[in-house]
Amino acid sequence: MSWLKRMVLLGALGLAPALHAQVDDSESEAETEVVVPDSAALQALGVRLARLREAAQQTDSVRTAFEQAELAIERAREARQLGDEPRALRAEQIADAATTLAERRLALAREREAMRIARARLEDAHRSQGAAREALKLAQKRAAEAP
Amino acid sequence: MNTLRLALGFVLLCGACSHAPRTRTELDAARLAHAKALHVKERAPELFQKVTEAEAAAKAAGDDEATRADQLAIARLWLEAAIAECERADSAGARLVIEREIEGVQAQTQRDQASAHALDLELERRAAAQIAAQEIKRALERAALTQGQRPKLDKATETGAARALWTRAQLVIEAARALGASGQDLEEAQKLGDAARAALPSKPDVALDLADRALSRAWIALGPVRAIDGAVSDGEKQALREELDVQGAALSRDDRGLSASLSDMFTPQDRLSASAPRKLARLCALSSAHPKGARRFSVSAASEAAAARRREQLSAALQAAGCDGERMGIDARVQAGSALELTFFAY
Repeated sequence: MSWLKRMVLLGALGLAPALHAQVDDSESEAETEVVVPDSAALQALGVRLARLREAAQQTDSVRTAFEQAELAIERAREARQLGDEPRALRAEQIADAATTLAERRLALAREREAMRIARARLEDAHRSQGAAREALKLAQKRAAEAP
Repeated sequence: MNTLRLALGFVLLCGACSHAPRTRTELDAARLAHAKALHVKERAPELFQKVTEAEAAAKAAGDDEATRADQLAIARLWLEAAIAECERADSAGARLVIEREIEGVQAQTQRDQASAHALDLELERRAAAQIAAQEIKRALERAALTQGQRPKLDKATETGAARALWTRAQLVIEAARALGASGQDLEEAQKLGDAARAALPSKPDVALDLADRALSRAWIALGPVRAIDGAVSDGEKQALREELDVQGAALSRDDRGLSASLSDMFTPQDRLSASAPRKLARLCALSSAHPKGARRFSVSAASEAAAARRREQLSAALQAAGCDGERMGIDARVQAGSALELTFFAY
């Protein structure tokens, strides 16, 4: 994720404190190299996000939520790395909510696509019905005119 | 571009680093109103509960600005998820209505297509029946003449006429059998039909005569079966009309019943025409095939004496054809023309 995009997203999410902490913490990153493993909750979120990755490329509304979730996960990792567990837990909550939002928006997008197809099918069905009605009228006319 | 990027970064960083209140203190009013309109609270209670909890956590955070901002962000995300869920449910409900409408429209389309197809088939059947009737008419007309009187035709045409008549006879035989007819008339009809088929390839004119007689006998065989039921059915009326029509008769219906008028039955000298005896024999057979009610012949001539002569000629011919005279009276009228009329009162 680009630096600029990340800044904009952080602002949009109201996650400025995280950025603030990150800017401060970045100076000490070089000194602490111990990697804290992801919590079970983060791992589960990772699995859910992996399922959404492809759909997120195709649907704007899903992509926005997807990126919010990714950013929050990153933030949770950073906070945990720094030993700030409350902030890490809040970031996990944000990631959970954003992932859920991405899932629901994906479901909504799919439903809207199904609706679009249903409307097209309805139009098609009406067209076919019109043609069938015309054919029937012609057949009735032929039958009436036949000796 | 770089200047713009720097400026934007500066603005965001200032916002992020400032200690002044910079987060929204509550959820967006418009989105909340939208959620209310969608009845999110009732329709997505689990998601809405999380909104409430996050809002409460934001309030509880007090001066902890970071916690407060995070909790509000969480509340906003859950609210959007709940809205998306309700919009999806609304869309699914609307789609279900459309799907049902599609089913209805498709069912109507299928009914219309089936009706149109049935009409087309009926038209084809009628056209085929007309062609067959024309063929039979020509064949019967030819069969009414003696072999010497018949116009010369090529063998294929002769064979075609004989085959048409044989097919008709065979159909009537099969119908009589299906209706439960039996006895000597049916056996005789079958024998004549078999003989006609055997003669078809080599002697089509002989086959034509045999098929004509087979048809008459098959009609006679049908009579006892039809006599069982009291009332004349619509099917019987239709059958009689068709059979009289292929005899070349002009049909009319009035309060007396169904009348068939055959022209050219008498010569100007008040004698029966060459084809009349065979045609009368067929009318007799048809009369046996449709036995319900009385029927009456009517002959007309320009004078009383001529009409009487025609009645005499007709009576003799009917007797020769083995017609049941008891129910067949003959009226003689003074009227121009050589037509002969037979009225079926019950049909």
